[in-house]
Amino acid sequence: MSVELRQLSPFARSFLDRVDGIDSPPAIGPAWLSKLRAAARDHFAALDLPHARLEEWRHTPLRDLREENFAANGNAAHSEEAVERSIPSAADTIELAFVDGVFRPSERAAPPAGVVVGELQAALTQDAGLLEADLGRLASTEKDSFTALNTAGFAAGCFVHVAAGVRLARPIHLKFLQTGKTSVLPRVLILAETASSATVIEEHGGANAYLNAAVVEIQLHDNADWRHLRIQHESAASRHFNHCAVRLGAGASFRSDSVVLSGGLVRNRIDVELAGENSSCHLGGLIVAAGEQIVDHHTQIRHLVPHTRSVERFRHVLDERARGVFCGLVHVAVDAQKTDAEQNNRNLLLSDDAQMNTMPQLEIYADDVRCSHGATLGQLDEDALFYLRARGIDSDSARSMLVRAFVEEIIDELPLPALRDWVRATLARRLPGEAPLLEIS
Amino acid sequence: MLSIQGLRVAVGGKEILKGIDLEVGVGEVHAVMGPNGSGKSTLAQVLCGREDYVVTGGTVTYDGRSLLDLAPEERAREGIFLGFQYPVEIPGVSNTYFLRAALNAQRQHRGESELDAMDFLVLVKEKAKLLELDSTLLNRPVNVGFSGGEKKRNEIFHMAVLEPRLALLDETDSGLDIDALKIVAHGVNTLRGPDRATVVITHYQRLLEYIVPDRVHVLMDGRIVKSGGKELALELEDKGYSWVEAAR
Repeated sequence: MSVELRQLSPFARSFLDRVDGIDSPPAIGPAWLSKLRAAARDHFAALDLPHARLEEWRHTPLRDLREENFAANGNAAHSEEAVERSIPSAADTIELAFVDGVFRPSERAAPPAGVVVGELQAALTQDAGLLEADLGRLASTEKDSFTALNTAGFAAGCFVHVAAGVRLARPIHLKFLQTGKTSVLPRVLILAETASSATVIEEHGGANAYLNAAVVEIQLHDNADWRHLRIQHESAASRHFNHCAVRLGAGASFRSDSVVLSGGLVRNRIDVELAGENSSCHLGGLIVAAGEQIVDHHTQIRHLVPHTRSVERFRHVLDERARGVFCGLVHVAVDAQKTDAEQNNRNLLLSDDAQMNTMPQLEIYADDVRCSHGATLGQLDEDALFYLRARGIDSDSARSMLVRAFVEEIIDELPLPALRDWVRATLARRLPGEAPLLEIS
Repeated sequence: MLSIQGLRVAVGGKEILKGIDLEVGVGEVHAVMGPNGSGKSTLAQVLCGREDYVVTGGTVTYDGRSLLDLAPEERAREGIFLGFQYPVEIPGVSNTYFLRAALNAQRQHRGESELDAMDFLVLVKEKAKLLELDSTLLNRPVNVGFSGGEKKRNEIFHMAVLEPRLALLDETDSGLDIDALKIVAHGVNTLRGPDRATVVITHYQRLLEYIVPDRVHVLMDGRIVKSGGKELALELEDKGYSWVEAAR
């Protein structure tokens, strides 16, 4: 232990002190969980923070994180701004809100029969069997510092379970909002039984400097059809490391959209295993960044069996000195014949100092597959600008119209009209001009 | 209305227009004809303020004001319209949204109130009918997935909504079948009036059977080499551009 402590970063040391405490979350709970946490703790201690020399982190400097010591729940500077600006929930939404890692109950109608949307702590007693079987199964702690950190120390989180055949029309809205300098380790486990269907909105927002290391595990059993959105409106001083791990059974379908509207350092790792025949996933991304912001998406899609399909479409709009990273790995296992994988990454750079790193990676071991990838990087189309101006639209309006058009194509595909309007309104504060562009008349 | 004197224009260091003189009076329709590469499109683009075209000499006045100092959007707001030879596709912006933004920018400039969504809709429906434009094209992104003919018809639809004082139509006839050509010509003719002018740029005489010009000019190698009445177009069709060349 003493040797370990000497070599660790102050950041890692502060977290280990926290999880090793006698009243820490790991010290309480069932034995299987304590075992899972102990293993994760050791992985974290061995890994510490990822080093910038690692290929995966080359474009995403952690800057001064190593030297930081996040107080457990210190709220010296406190701002409800993120709470006030968060996505308003519709009347029929099943909502679960956490502010600074603490559950904030709201008066909402209970979920219908066959649906559990609740606090993880409560589920540890009520649904102990399900949790023991599936918690930590998809998000391995061995090689990922932040996943290890979360698993070792998470206190609050959500458990979502939708029974076989239940098609939930009401959206599930999980909110994680930060008001002060704090660190949170949200944990989400979603179990979608056979032929179930639902939409989950995972919202992260905050003010002030905070650390968020969230882990979301999603198991889709055969023929489940789910939609997931990760929406981030985070502060410029925040750091968020998100790991979403998904596994699909036969005939299952999953669509996940990553919408990053603001943030400091955002790193989203998304792992999808297409483990059943005829399963398909669609990962979408809309990233709008400015200032010194860094937004990094590392996706891994593993086609493990024949006849699976994946689509990835990520769009970045980067202004000022913002930096975007998109690294998309598509793995096709030797038996995964008839795989169909498509990856597309389009990027708009609005300033000379903005930077985009895009890295498609294909690992194909089967021979009868169709895989395509494409990336574009550019500024606004001069011909389009001239066309707009030649009709009487001034240069600034024309530019903003083209930028909003670029993002509107993605916004238009988001579910729930109220959510689309909120995204437009949030972006309108950052991009000059009026919304919406694709109005129907 | 439009007076061009000794206009010289270079693109990428190469001189394309080598001294153009052209007077377009109010209420008139002029046709500028010429072979490919003669500078017809350059003339249209430079009149609309395309920035990569460098004016190296001459003057252009519009309603007595120098046009060359104005930005493209200022020219449009003063009533100049260009029907593009190659209309640009703009994914993500609906045709009507774009057109309403353009019309309101122009109205604002003229000190008129902006049209609200309802009034605009009425106007758009009327003009779409005039051009026999498929109403689904109104809400689609500008020119995206439009056929060649639909794009050209959409240009004239824009013109019909914006009601410019000076319309420059750059090869609007190319890619149109005879029925579409008649519809487009009808749209242009509807807008003819004593306080407006039109310059039709074309390679062929065909369009001029339907939009009858007051004057016809032949542009070759960056200069207007011959001008005449509408019969000049027929003569050109009959004898070809080499006839003009030989007569120089």
